Amino acid sequence: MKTSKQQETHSLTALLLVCTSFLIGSAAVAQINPKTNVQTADKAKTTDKKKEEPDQKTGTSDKKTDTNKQVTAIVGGDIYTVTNEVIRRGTVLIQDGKILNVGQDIDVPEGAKVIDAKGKIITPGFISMTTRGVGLAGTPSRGQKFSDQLNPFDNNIKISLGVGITTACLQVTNSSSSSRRRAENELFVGLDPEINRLEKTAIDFNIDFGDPNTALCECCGLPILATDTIERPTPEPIRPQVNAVIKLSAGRLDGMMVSESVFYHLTPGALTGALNQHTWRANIRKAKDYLKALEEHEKAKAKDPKAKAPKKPVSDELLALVQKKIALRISSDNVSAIRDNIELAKQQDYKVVIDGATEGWVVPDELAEAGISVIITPRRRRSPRFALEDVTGSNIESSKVYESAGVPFGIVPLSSSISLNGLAGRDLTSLPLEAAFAVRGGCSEKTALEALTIVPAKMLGLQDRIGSIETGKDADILILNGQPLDYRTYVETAIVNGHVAYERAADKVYPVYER
Amino acid sequence: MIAFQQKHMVQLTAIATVCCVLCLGNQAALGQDAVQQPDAVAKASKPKLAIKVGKIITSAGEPIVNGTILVSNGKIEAIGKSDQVKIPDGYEIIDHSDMFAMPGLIEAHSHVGGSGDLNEMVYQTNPELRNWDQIIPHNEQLKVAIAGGVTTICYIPGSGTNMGGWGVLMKSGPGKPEDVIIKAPGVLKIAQSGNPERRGGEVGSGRMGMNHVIRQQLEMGRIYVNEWDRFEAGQTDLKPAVNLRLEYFKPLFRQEIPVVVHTQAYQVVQSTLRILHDEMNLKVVIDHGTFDSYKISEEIIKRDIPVMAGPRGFRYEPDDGQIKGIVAEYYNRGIKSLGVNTDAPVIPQEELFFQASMAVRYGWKEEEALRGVTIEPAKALMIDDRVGSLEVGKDADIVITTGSIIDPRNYVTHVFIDGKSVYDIKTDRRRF
Amino acid sequence: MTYRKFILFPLLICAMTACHGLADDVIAYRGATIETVSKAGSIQNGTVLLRNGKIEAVGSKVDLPTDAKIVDVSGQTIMPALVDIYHPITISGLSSGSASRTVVFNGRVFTIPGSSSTAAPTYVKLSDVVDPLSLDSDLSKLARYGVGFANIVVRGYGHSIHAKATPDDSASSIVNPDGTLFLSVTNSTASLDVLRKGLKGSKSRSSSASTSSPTSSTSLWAAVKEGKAPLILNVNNAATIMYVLQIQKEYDKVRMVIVASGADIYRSLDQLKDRKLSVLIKAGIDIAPRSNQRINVAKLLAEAKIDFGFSASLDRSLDSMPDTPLFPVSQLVKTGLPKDKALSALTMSPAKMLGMEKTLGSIEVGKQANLLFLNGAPLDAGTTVQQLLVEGKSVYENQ
Repeated sequence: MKTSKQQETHSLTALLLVCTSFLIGSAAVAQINPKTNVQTADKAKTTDKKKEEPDQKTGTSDKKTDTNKQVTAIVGGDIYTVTNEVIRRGTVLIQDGKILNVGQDIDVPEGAKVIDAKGKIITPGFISMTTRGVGLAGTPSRGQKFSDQLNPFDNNIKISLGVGITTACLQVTNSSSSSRRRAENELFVGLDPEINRLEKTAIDFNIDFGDPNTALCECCGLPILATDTIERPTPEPIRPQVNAVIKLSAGRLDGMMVSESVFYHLTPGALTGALNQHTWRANIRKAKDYLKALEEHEKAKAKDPKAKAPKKPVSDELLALVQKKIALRISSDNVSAIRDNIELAKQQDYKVVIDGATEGWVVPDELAEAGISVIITPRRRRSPRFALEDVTGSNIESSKVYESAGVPFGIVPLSSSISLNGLAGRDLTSLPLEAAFAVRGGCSEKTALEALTIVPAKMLGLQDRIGSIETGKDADILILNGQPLDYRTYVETAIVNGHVAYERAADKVYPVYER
Repeated sequence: MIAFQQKHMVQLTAIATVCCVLCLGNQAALGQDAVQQPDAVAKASKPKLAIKVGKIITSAGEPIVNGTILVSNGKIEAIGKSDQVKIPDGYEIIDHSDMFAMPGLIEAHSHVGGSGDLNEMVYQTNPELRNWDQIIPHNEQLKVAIAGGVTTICYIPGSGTNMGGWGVLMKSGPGKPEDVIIKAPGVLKIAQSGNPERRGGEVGSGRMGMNHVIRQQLEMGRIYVNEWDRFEAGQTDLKPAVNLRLEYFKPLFRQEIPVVVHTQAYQVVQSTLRILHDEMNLKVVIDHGTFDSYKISEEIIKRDIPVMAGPRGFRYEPDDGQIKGIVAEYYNRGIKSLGVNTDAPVIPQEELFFQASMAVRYGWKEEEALRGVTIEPAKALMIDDRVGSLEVGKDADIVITTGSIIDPRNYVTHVFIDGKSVYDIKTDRRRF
Repeated sequence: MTYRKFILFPLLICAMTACHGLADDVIAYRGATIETVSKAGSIQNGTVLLRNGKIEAVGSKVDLPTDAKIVDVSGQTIMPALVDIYHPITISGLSSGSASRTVVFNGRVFTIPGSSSTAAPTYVKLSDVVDPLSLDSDLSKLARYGVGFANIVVRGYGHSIHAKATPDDSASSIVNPDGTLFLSVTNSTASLDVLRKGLKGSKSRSSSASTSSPTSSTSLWAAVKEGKAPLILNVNNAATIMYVLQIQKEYDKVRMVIVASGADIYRSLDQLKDRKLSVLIKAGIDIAPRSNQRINVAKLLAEAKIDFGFSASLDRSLDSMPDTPLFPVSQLVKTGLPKDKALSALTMSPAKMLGMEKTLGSIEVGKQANLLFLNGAPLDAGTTVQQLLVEGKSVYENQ
C-alpha cells in the first residue's frame, strides 16, 4: 500500500518533471524553424533529382551511359556567347558537364530537363583571377597538396556564385613559413607586430582588409584604400607563388580541381634591380640550355639507349614558362617597372600577364606590341607623382585606352576575398561591378564582359574549356536577371560543370526582392 | 507643427546667418569669425547660364524631360521644360541635350574637407573644438569628389571622443574658406559607442560612462543657452559671461543645427533616441546606423529622425545566414528620411553615389537613392533651403551626367557649384 | 532530499537485489514497459528473464523458472543499454595539435580553431598504451549516461579497444583489446594519405615510428579492405567527407562509419546516399554553420535513408547531463525524428556498425543482458536513468 502510494508520488513528480522539461523543451523547439528543416529537406529533394543526372564518372560504365545521357536545356534566354554574336531567345543544351549545342533553332531532345530562361540573360561564368579564401578548407601550407585542401561546401562559394564567379584562380604562397611571415608583415607597414598577427588572423577568417596597400582607419578600424603615388618597387627575392585554378562546383568535389599551376607568378620587386634581373636571365638561359640538351639527348638515346639524361637545373614551372606553356604573372603598377617587364619579355621571349598595371595606360602601345595582357582594377585610384600628372597615377579611362590599343585586359575587384565586414561593393563579390566601372572608363560593354570571361580564360591557358558559350566547352553558365554589367543584376541560377550549383531563390545568400 | 517649424526656420535662416555673424562678432577678440558674406565679391564673377539637358532629376518632384535651367548670381533662376523656359539675352547657352542634370550630391559624413587630424582628445567631450579652421578648399580628395558629383559635404571631427567638436557644412569647390562654407557651426559630432570605447581605463570607456559624460556636457550647454535666451528676451539684466566651450550650443539647442551621431547597433541607437532626442530635445541625425540598428525603425519613425546610413552597406544576418542591405531594411520598415554616407576616406568621397548603388543592389529603390544622396541629406543637415534639389532660388550646384548617377557605368561630365563650372571633362582630365 | 530518497526507496530495493545477484542467478524483471528495439517492439507490462548475464526470455507472458528471483519494476521502462562506438580518451604524451582560443581585435571576437597538425597521425594501438585502471572515470561517466558498451579510441589513428561499462571493475572492463581500426581525417594531405595508403595496402609510412608493430595495422587495413571489419573515420567537416567518399569509390567492399563531429555533415547528405557507410552523430539539435538556424541532422539523415547512430561522447552532455541521456534525443523526436529510429540509433544501429548486432543493441533472447532502466517513457523529456545492468550485473544505480 505504502509502496504504491510512493510510486504514485514518484510518478507525479516525474510527470511534473516531464511537464517542466516539456515547457523548456517546447520553448527551445519553438525556436527551431520548421521551415529550415523543410527547406533543407526540399533542397535535398531537388538535388536528389539532379543526382539522377551525370555525376559518378568513376561509376560502372553501363550506369554511366544511363545517367550521363541526361540533357539539360536552358531555353528562351538571350545568350551572350562572348566569342560569337548574342543569340536572342536561344537554347543551350548541356550534357555530361559540357555544352552540347547552342543556338536559336535547336530542338530540345525528349526527356531533357528544361530550365526556362525567358526574359533572362545567359552568359558564361565569370573568372576571378585573384582570389583568396574561396573553396578552401584551410590555409594551404607546405607539404600539403593543394588538391587535398578543397572545400566544396565553403560558404564563400555560394556567395561568389551569387555574383557569377564560377572559376577562381587562387594564389597560394609556396614559401617557407618564416619568409611567409616576413612577407605578411610587409603587407601592413606601420602597424605593430601584434596587430599584424591579428590582421593575419582576420584575413584567415575572411574578414577582409582589402588589397595589400590598404591601411586601417585609426578611428573606426575599417580599411581605407591607398591613394598615394606609385613608386618603383624595391627588390625582393625571386620567389614564385603557386596559382591554382578551381571550379566553384558547390557541393561537388569531382571536377573542382582544374589546374595546380597556371602561372609563374612573381611579386612586384622580384624582377627589380640589376642583381634580380641578372639572376632571372641566368635562370632562363639555364632552362633554355636544358631544353636543348634534352632534345639532343632524345636523339642520342635513339642511337645509344644508355645515354645520360641531362640534369634538370630549374623548376618545371620555369621550363613551362620558357616553352610558353604558361605565362609569367607579375604585379607591376609603376610605369617604369612596367617598361622593365616589357623589355625583359621581349628579350627573353616569354608570355607575360601584368597584374595591377595601374600606370600601364601610359604605355599601351608598348604593351600591345609585346603581346602583353594586363589585369586591371578600373576603380583603383592612385595619385599622380608631383609634376607628372599626365603620365603617372591611375586613370579611370584605362579600360578605353587598352581597348583602343588592343591590349587584352582582365578585371579584378579591389579585394580578392569575400568580406562580411559590411563595406559594400569592394570585396570579391564586386567583380561584375568593377567591370561596370570599366564601362564607366569608356570601354565597350562587350570588352568589359570579355574581361570577366574569355580574356582571363586565355591568360590561364584554359580558353578551350571556359570563358565562352560554345559547343564542347565546360557548361559553366549563368542565368542573370538583367544586363550582365547592370549594378542591380543578380545571378538567378549558376551552372558549374553542368550542374546547378546555385539558385538565388533557394540559396538566399543575397536579398531576394522584386526589381 | 513641423511644417510651421520648418517654415519658420526658412524665414529665420537669413536672419540666423546674420545673427551668427553678430555672435561671432562678439568674439572678435578671437579673430576667427569664419562666416562672412562673400557674395558681393563672388557674385560679380558668377556668369549667367542656360543649361539645356535631356533630363533633369530635380529631387523636388518628377524629373523633367528636355529641360532648361537658368542660372544667375550663383542661384537657380528658372527651371522647367525647355519649351517653357524662355532664355533671356546675355545667357550663355550650354547644350547637353543628351545628358542628365541633377543636384549636386550631399555627403552627410566626411573627414576629407581639409586637414585630417580630426581626433583631438583633449577631454572626453570637446565642445570647445571646431574644425572649420582646418578647411582646405578644393583639396585633392575634393577634386576627385567633384568628379563623383559631390558638391556639398558635412566635414566633421572624428569619433575618437564622445563629443568630437563642431563640424562645418561646406562646398567641395574652389575658393577661400569663406566662399565654400555654407554653415559654421554646421553640426555637432557626438559618438555614443564604438570608437571612444577603445581608450583604456578612464571614466567613460564603457557605454554607461560615455552616456553620462554626454548628458552632463549637454546639460551644461542647455543651462548656458537658457541663460542667454532669458537675457536676450529681456527677462533678466544679468548678462551671462561668454564661455567659448559652450558658445556653439546656442544654435544646437535652438534647433538651428543638428547633432550628427556616430551611433550604430540597436542598443546604441535606442540610447541616441532617448538621450539626444527625448531628453535633450535636439535635432538628431543618425549617422552610420549600421549593424542591426534598422530593427528599431519604428521608434525612429515616431520621432521623425533622419538616417544617413554608412559606410557599412550590408549586414550578414546570423539569424538566417543572409546578407541584408541596411538601407533597404530601413526602407522596408517605413523610414523615409533616408540617405547614405561614405565616412570618407573610409569609402572614397567620390563613391558616395556608389554607396547608393550598392544600397539599391541590396534592395532599395533607385528613385529613393537619388533623393538619398541629394535632398534627404540636405534636409537632415538643415541646409535644404540652399542645396539638395534643383528649384528656383537654390544654389546652382548642378551635376551633368551621362545617365542616372546611381549606375556606375554613367559618369559625371560637368559640375557647377554656385553657378560656376568647377569640372569639365572637355578641359580637365577625367578624374573619376 | 530526504523526500527524494524516500521516493526512490523501492528502487533501492530492486537495485540491491540486482547487485547481490550472482551471475548464476536467474532474475526476472516484471511489470515494466519493455522497449526491445527489435521486431517485438514495445511490450507493456512485460518481463525480462536473465540467466548468467544473458537474456533468456522476454515478453508479456514469460514462464518463470522456480529458481528465478522476481523483481517488480512496474512503472519503469527497460530498454537496451546504450552503445557508444566512439568514445575518445586522452592519453598524456599522445595528444597533438593545439586547442582553440579566442582573441579580441577591434572589438570583434575571433575564435581561432586549434591547429590540426599537418604531420601524419601516428598509429596507436590503444590496448598497448592504456592502463585499464585509468578508465575508471570514463567508464563511470558512460555508465551514468546509460552506456553499457563503448568503443574507446584515442584521437588520431589506431586501433581501439572494446570495453564494457563496469566502473567498479575497470581491470576487467576491456572485453576486446583488438578492437576496431579508426582514423581521424582532415583536409590534409598527410591524414588523407594514411587512408589512401592504408587501403591501397602499402605499408603505412607513419607506423614505423609508433609503438606498435606495423604488421598489426596492415592486417587491420586488409580486413577493412575485404569488408570484414568496419573502418571508423572521424571526419569533422563535409569537405573531408567528400574526399573520403572519393577514396572509398575505388574499394567496393569497404564499410565505413563516419563519425561526424561537425554539424555541417548535413550539407553532404546527397552524396552520402546509397553508399556503404553509416554515420555517427551527436544526439541533439545542431546549429547550422554560419547562422543561428537550428537543424535536426538526425531527422535529415533518417529522411535521406542514411544509416546513422548516436554517440554520447560527441558532445559535452556526457559530463553535463548524466542520468538524462535521452533528453537531447527527445528534442530530436519532438522536431520530427521517428521514435523507433531514435531508439535504434542509440542502441541497435551502433551495435550493427561495429558488427556486434548478435550480442548487443536489443532486448532479444540470447543477447547480453545490458539493460537500461528508466523511470518513464524513454523519450519523455524528464525521464532519468534508474539503473544500468551490464551482462546482468548492476553497474550503476541512480540514488
